[in-house]
Amino acid sequence: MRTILEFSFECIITEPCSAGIAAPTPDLEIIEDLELDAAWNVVVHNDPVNLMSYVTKVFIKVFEHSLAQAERHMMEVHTLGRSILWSGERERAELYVQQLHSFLLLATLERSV
Amino acid sequence: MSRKLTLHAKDPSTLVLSGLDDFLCSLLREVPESGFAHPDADARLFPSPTAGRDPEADQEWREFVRPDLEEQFAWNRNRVADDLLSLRFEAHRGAALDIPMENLPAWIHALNQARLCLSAQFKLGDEEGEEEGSDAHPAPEGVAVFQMQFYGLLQEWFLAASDTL
Repeated sequence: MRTILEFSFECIITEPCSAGIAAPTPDLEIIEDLELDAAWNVVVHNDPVNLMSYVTKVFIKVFEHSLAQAERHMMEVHTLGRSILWSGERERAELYVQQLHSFLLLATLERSV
Repeated sequence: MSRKLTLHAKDPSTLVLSGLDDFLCSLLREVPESGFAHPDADARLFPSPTAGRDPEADQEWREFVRPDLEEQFAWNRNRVADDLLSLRFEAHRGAALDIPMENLPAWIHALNQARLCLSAQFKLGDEEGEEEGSDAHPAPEGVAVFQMQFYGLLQEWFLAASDTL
């Protein structure tokens, strides 16, 4: 699972050095904004109509899975009702969901907890 | 006279579906129309990406993603409609249909689309496909069950014959 860290730094020099005086060590005030952007899951839900062989081929096509990986996820969908196919940043997760919808799979985007 | 439905390679770039009787031909001709979004199937063909948890994202999806999906689905149905023009009658062998290998993914998707629409329209699930010989469904639901099974069989054959989607 991937986590995105966003940092921003602001440096304020409070005592600027002047000529002839040994340069003091500047005091640095560091304001740190740290935000953890939660990962997003691409979830595929069970569908009573889509063929198992079709779903397996879609996973291979979209996620470049091996046959074994694709079949494991397909069986998870079939037996448990859902499977998390991918986790990561939202933009890419949306692209995966769009691709899965283009293959008529029931896929949703969920914030990872 | 019973005929055997077969799928075989005519050459490296063309498959032939043969042994079709009039009824199967009529079902094939319905593939492009069956996959056209029936009102009951709309929610299934164009599901919400957040399942309603994020209405704003769902609305953006309808505005920006759905038109692309509609275009892709229509493209698949149009390829199938074009191929159906090659449907021809062969003496003693029923009707036959040429399907270019490059159009197999479009066929697989269009058949899937049609099955999903039929399922939504007639409220059929996967258990319907296992009721072989069942007379539980009156017409037209009974025809729809057979239609879904026939489309499913073709989809399996085309998936086996195709390297990719």
